[in-house]
Amino acid sequence: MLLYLLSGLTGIISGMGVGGGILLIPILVFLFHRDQHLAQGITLLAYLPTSLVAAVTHYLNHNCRLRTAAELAVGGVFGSFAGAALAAATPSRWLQKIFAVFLTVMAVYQLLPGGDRQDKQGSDSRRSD
Amino acid sequence: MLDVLKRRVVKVALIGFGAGLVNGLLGVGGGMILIPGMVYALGMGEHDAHGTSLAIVLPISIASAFVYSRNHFIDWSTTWRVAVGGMIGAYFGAKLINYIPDIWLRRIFAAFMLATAVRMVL
Repeated sequence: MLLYLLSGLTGIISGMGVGGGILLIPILVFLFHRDQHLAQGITLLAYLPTSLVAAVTHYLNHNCRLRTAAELAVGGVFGSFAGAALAAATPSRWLQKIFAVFLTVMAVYQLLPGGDRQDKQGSDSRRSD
Repeated sequence: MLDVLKRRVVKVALIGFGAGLVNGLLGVGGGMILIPGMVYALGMGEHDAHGTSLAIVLPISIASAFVYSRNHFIDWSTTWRVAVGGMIGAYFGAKLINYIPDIWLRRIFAAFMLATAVRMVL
């Protein structure tokens, strides 16, 4: 039950556009004692349906450029294979430390004045292709 | 003209690869590379960048999840429970977005992330 509740909470944060997955991983590691690798695998899969619904919603609102997405996804898929292979080759203890560095960078980014991007509107007319 | 096109191809390849690398290594964070990359390097608007990043995170997460499953880093029973909770939460989060001041959400979020980072290094 606690797992549903906390997943719901991170989902709320995701829905608000802040990125709940980054909280879900430490929750799984510290409260549910999953290994860092397993926590990352769970998060990758569990967020697929939510991302799909969000992507379709943005597409219907004309806020999703499929051509640019396809172009970026090419490099992205190569990077994913490399990143996931790197994760598999890294011991959990070290992966956790890398994750901690990433968390710190993201926390600082959230606190920067420019990190608040929800209020910025109207710049969408700057289409470049 | 050709030069501009070439430069764009390099930028797109680098942003895509970087986002994939982070997302594969840490399981999250692709969007954190993609959104600023699209806004600052490709000159896209914030809303377009946000929506487009979601469409990219989908295939790159599938690619990473494939490698994770080959290495047995998958726990289906936890995954589906988290997925159900996450989807219900995301629905309400999208509704709540207009009622909670963004700045406080970000501060609480940042404080939690910093505390977690410290705990992870110890």
